[in-house]
Amino acid sequence: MEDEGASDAEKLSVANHLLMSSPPGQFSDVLEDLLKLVPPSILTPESLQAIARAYNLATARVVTHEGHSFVLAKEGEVDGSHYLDSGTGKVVEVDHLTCNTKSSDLSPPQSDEGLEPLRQATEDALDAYRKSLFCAAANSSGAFAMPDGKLVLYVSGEHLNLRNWWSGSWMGRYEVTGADGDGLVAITGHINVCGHYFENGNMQLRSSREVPQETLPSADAAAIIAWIRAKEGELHDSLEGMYGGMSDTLKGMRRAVTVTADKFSWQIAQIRMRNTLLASKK
Amino acid sequence: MTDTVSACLNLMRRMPPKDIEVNLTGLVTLAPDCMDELLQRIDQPLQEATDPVTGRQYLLCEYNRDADSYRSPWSNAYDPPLEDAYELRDQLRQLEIDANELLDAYRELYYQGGTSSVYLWDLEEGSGKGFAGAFLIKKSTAEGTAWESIHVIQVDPDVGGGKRATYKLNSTIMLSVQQQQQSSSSAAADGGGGSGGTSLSGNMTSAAEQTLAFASQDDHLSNIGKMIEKMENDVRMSIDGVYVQKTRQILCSVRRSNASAPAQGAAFTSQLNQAIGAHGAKRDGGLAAQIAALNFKKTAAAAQEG
Repeated sequence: MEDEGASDAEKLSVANHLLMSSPPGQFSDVLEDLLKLVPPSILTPESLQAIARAYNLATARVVTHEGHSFVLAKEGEVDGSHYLDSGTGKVVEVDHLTCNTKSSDLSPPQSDEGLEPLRQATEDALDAYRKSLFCAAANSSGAFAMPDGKLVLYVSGEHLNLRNWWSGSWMGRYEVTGADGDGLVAITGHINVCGHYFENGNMQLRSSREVPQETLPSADAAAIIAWIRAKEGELHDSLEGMYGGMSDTLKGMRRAVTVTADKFSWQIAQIRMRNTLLASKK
Repeated sequence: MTDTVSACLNLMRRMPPKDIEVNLTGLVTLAPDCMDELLQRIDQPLQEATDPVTGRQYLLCEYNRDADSYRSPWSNAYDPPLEDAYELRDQLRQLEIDANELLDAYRELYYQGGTSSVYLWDLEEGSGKGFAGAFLIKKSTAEGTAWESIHVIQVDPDVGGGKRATYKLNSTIMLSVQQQQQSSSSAAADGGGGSGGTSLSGNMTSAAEQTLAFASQDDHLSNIGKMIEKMENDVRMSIDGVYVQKTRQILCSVRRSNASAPAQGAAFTSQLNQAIGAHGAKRDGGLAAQIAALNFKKTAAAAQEG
């Protein structure tokens, strides 16, 4: 077993898995420790950029360029390092590892021109929704009109306080189809939530919800955002419900005091006698 | 501790606690030379097995494993049977039997269910000088909620034959609360294998050390037991009061619940309409203006209803 060892490909795949599992804001911390375990011949600058890109897109990472925050989205990708800021309509160069940005002259990716008014209205409504509920230090949202007529929406927030051992994020991604026609539109999406507290331990809230497809009567920005708001609210309420029931959940696992409300007697003779008595009662 | 091991332990503090086994396997792939130390230092979820002799459940861990067999604390038998297996000296085995009986009764009173096991071993084999033990409790439900306690204790009697001993306790409590996505639709079927769900999981570690008097072997068990009971009470209190609440606060520091900002309230509606109306105007009417007009009617209606 030992002499065989894992192949470079296996090691890269483990490194990839661990990096992709990084809690909010801790990708670079995970990388720092991983570099002590995996040689640079395996974690090459190219493979690191590729993993960081996948992580940033999967978590809809919020980056800031010249004071304006935007969501890194696959739908806004010009190439592996250039992304559309859907709020300004400009393309920004992004280093995935550092999240540093630079201005760029590249043209935005192709989009559905006909959808632009709806896209803009949805982006504004999504902004208003986000500002009403998201309090994370970094948060942003974006809407993308895809060439195939799909409208893709993101809302993303990340709050870090690593000095005090915690971080959290909330990300929703939604797809609206049929908005380019006159009839019904279909909407679906998923929401990922993460909360990490790691002082003297490691406690994580991880929630992922696939929101089943539903139809809306028309391509209406307010209706789309109302739907998103309701779905995200449902998830938030169910998480609050879980917390509300947590005292009972914990009690069902281990009680705070014994059934008899006494401290336990750690005397074997006493316990044997008690066991004998209990057995005789049966 | 080597840099490699401390890098692995740092990583495990960041990885999702519900994936301990997968991630530990991954780390062993990256650092095969540290396998033994990693297996010892990183607590893994406890597996259960049935004692083939007594039919009772017992817990599996590194401390009752020899080669590919595990020893049951109830019958003392290895499963599968093992030749030349490690055997406890008689006196320590008797103490182990008593410890199992005590922890079993303790478990019933605090947990009202679950499984417990105690494994003891000599620190310096055969010398009878000091010993160590693993006190394990696991309770889980069909929904996937689980509590696991792993207490490893080391007992060092005073040199010079005094009737005092130093007890060093290292405890890990693992908690896992699962909530499946309640959905009657087909989402789970086509949504990538029903990946929807919520988990709140974590592990908390804590250590304690005490020097206490003992007159007999039984006193060791009572000293250890009281330390474990206090440790579990303390950790349970901080799980309830700190760890769980902290993740709830984190959630609320990212997003407020809908109730904190009524959607159909006048302020939000007018904000929304202004935003949409502004864009409609910018674009000389067109679709955006129509949407804005439509939207205004709808939200006004909703506001009246609400």
